Amino acid sequence: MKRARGEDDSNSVDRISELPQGILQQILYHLSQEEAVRTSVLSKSWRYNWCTRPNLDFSDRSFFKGSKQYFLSVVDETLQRYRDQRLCIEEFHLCISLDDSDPASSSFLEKWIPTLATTNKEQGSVSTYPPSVVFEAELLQDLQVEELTLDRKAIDRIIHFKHLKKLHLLDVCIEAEIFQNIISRCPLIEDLFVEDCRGLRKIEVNDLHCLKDLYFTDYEVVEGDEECCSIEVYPPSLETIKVNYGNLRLSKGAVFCNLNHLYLCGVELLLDRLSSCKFPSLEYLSIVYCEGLRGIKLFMDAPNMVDFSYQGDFIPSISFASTSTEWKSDINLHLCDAPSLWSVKLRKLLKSLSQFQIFLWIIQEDDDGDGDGDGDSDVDGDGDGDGGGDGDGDGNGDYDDDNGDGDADVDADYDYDGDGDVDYDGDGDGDGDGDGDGDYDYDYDDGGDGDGDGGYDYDDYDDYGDDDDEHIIQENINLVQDKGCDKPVVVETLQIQWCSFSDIPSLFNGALCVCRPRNIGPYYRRSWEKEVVCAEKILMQRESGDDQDDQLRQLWLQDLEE
Amino acid sequence: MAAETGTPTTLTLKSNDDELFSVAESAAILSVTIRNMVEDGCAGGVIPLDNVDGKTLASVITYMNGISAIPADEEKKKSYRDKFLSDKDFETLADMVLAANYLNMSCLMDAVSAKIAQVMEKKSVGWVRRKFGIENDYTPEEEAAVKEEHKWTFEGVETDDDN
Repeated sequence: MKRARGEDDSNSVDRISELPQGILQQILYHLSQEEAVRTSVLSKSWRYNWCTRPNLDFSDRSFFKGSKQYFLSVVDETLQRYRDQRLCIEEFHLCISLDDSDPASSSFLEKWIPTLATTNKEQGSVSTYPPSVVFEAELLQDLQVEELTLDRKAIDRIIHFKHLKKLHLLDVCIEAEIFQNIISRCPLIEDLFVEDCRGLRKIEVNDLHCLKDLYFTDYEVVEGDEECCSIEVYPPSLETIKVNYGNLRLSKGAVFCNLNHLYLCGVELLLDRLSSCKFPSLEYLSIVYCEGLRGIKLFMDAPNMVDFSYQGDFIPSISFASTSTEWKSDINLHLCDAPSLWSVKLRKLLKSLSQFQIFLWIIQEDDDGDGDGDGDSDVDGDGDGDGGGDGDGDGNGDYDDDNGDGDADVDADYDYDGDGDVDYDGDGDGDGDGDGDGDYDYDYDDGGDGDGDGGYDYDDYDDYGDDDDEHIIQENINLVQDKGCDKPVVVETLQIQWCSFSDIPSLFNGALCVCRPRNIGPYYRRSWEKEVVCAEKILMQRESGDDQDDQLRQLWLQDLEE
Repeated sequence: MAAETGTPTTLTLKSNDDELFSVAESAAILSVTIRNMVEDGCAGGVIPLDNVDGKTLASVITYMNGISAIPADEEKKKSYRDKFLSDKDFETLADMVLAANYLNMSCLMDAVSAKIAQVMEKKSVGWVRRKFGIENDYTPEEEAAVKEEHKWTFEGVETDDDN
């Protein structure tokens, strides 16, 4: 079927007007009320198409120029017409702001809601002050209430919402008792959204046997503030649970047979009961900054996991029931401590996830607050305690950042002297190493650099000592090469983000002690290109370089193959 | 049925311009029309689809295969539909919505209707007329009267007439 076509993708043959009414109604269904009505101007055949569309969708927010009165009259006339012509309204969406000084709106609602008694689907969105008539809309399927207080008066007229499937409370001031009262009259709720509701410290939805999606979010509890809201659920029906800053209380041994998504953020209550529950359908698990995970050993009986993500400032102890499916885990660690303090835990975590694809992202946080990001701590990164390395883990691996000893000669020069000749600083001091031992001598020096040699010159870092660097890094390499210790875990991608340059070697070494990345990077460090290049060189040297590095590389490849 | 015999059953569909297409039964029964035929046992030979041309049917079959390969994950299905429809012009969309209607495929029907609606969204009356080749058969007076009747719908959209 060939048709003449306009030049600019416009059609010169009018096909849309010829589509059957049923299809046109389907198209109009997807338009907003005003856009659907506006099609009446297109041509005579379009004049009344919109009049019979099965859904009505009114929002006073779209009446940005018109008055409230005009909005009310448009809604009123439209409803009147549908009623007069006995047209079916399958869906009715109404979004309206109400307040005490606006009795007209309330009286219209009093009139409309009984009119809608025959409507199949209703959605209401009310804000500020709900006339209690809203709670008489028996056929209501979806109710959103925003920014208001629900008190005893408001629930006076509440009837059984036999059809309410979705209840969304946003910024509503409501007490637990009132909340329970409302919930008890909505037995068929499938989606429950509770966002930022002040006064609500307890949610018990054990009786909602149809509840599929539970979304709870609260303001982040500040220290000394009131306690987190406690949430009790009925496990069998739930498919999705998202909790932000609430305390999920689980009964011991609960079986979440339908739960597919579990997202926990900022949960303070100890999550040890998770270990006793069963999650046969769980595919997606996210744990974000949950203090409730600290200090416990979590075991997840979730044999169908697809995606696990963790984000936090400590390394959790978590393991999973063995699964038949392939899944991936994103581990996103914001760590303040030096690698020597976390590498053992990280190794344990990675080992427990090792049958799966791991994407690891380590972010070194600046913890000391002095703004230089140096961490001012033990950054030897030797992963002591793992059976390799020097075992002491300190004493020789400390960067002296604030020594103020005037060692202006040791900053901002990077000396990759593993190969014995790469001297970036040009100041001659780096070559003294030249031992071909494959270690990395980090020499931060810009004092008296000014040599125009194109060497790296970082003025910001003029106070790092480098005396121990060589030693530290050598120890790490020893550790890496130590076959006696646990095999490092293969990870798909390792990303490292650092706060200060001094973190780079320790971070890389710390991470590489416990894992073998297939891919490294990208790096994130406030667009410091030179440092990225520098870091890459470190890694390149790990892979190629001199004899000893070759061995290292072979070892690495061997690990990857295994 | 496929699950019982162990080998996937294939159906043969014939377009109104006599092109033949093979499609797995499991994908084809996304169409309620075809499913009914299968259930009634009349899908043994060639299934003639008199209201769908070959080009459109090929496209619909691509969709059937694509969407049925995705496990029950509504988000992934939605993103597949979006991608599938993203490069289709209105001619194709109109053919597909008619085919989806005829084949009784509510998910495709809904997706294509939404896509067509999306083209009309936030556009002026003049733009929509040009885009879809709709002839304005109102007199200027009549048009002004209709606009006046629904003047609230024209707030803030007068400016894009040339877009």
